[in-house]
Amino acid sequence: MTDMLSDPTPDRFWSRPFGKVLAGMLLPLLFATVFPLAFVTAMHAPQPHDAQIVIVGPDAVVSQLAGRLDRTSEFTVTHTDVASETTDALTQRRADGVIQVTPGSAEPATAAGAAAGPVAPAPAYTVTTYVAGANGRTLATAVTALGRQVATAYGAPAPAVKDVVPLFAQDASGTNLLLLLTYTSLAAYLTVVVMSKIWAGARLRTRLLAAALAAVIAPLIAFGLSAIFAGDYGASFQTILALLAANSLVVFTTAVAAILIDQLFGEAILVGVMVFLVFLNFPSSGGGSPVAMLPPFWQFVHNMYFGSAGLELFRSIVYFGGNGIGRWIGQLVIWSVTLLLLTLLLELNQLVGRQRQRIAELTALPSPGSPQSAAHRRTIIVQPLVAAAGAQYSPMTHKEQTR
Amino acid sequence: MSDTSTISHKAPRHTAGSAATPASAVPRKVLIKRIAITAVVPLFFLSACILCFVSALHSPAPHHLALTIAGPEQVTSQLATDLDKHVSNGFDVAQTTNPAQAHDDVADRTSIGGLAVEGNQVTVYKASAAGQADASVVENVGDRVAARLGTAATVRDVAPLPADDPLGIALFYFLAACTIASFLPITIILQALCLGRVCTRS
Repeated sequence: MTDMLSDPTPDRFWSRPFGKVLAGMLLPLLFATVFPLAFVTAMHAPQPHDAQIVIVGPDAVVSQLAGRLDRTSEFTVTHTDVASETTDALTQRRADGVIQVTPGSAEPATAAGAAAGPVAPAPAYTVTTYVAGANGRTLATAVTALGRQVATAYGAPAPAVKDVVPLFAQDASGTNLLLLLTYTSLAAYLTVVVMSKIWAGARLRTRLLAAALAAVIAPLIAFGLSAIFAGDYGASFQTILALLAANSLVVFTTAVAAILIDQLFGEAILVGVMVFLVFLNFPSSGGGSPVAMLPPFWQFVHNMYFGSAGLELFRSIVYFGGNGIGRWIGQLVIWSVTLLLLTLLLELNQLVGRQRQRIAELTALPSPGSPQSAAHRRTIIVQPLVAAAGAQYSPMTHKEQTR
Repeated sequence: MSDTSTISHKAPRHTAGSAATPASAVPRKVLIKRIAITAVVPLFFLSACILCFVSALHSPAPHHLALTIAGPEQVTSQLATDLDKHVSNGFDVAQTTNPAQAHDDVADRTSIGGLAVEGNQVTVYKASAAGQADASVVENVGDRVAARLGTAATVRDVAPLPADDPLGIALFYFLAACTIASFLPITIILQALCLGRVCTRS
């Protein structure tokens, strides 16, 4: 009976063993090609693309340099003479790096001197580079390198580098939040994939319940286990609760996305999961390479996808005291709600389709009294009614079924 | 085995004409088994991945990093002692009086890094292609030694990374893709041809 229900056209090519193997080969082929393409194109050679830089210093001194840097594709530069911006712009997540140019003991540069450009600078300047290590090491390295260039342009000594938002000591590589995102997401979509394989008839509410349970349990286990090695980021209890709540939202969103993929892709759920929840999700997250160091395509994905929203939310909560969470919460919630609505709409659409087909089958019933009629009525009328009433449905005999 | 108690990836999906199997229509034993599998598989992968990856990657630090220090015996002994004091078991130091040995050991991968101290000149030999984190540690050690001598270290990269792979990650992703893409077909063939356990049971 199982075979008949799941395989109504047994003569089809894709239902035969060779066809199944051939179809099955698509996934490894997809993996072998798209996996390196996605991750390597995103991360192999991090270069700043429109990295937000603030240059702090007297307008007459820094405006020309800021304008020149702003015209490059690598940096988007603003300048200010407000000294507190050296730290505020970074801690509030408004900038990727800050460079402060301070006139030294010598006379400040005149407007005419500044107009001559940084290629012929006054000698007595000090340059200080401010970075946020929590935003990613490659970004900090790029900002540090820019600081050195600026110092050279002003004839200043090698700049001091100050990390305004350093990484937690036990998260020295800055990968822990990415691992948290990656493996709790894995738990989310694996729950749905396993259900689709062993419990294909599970109702939508059962799947959503499983997604909700995964959203509660996976973050607790992931954070608990990672804390054994990586500690708790030195964070307060409230911060950890906020991190777990954000992670729960990410897990639920990912699981709902997997349910939607299951509805759309059916047996090819793994292909959809790989493409939408792995290959697009993780390289663009900003965890492996900070968003300012990603190529433009991946920056675009980062700015609209839910995995990136999750990772930036984690960063804001753990390292930036909650600064900048509004945008990322919004991005994540929009995805959660949209995916949930699409899932419900699709389920409703499929339900209507099934009911229409039943009505069509009812109207095409064989003449009353015939053996076919009895079997048919039992299939399309009795089974759903009995099942709906919560009773154990007694399946048809093989004899009835094969008539 | 009744049809409703079958655990199979070929069980009826939400397709037209086939109603979803309500939980109440499934024997309790089968339902419990389904719930258990649905819970255990993700939990296993979640726990195993977190344990393996976080424990390996969370805080890279040198552990028995092979380092060749070349220079006068008195200097190299002092440096070896200081390194051991600074990071216990962090470095396995090989000492030599031949400055070229520091380069050669890195080039033939006997050591991860090399330091050659000649007078107050410090030359650091690193191999970025052997790992950026290792190279960074070696360079850091060289800078400290040079700072102590009141000079700046000269850094030579014995095996630099190509310009289009400055982080050296391409080989890692190549390995990962090859590995996964090699066991995935076997798994799929076993499932497709009903040799896998879940499939056999249907």
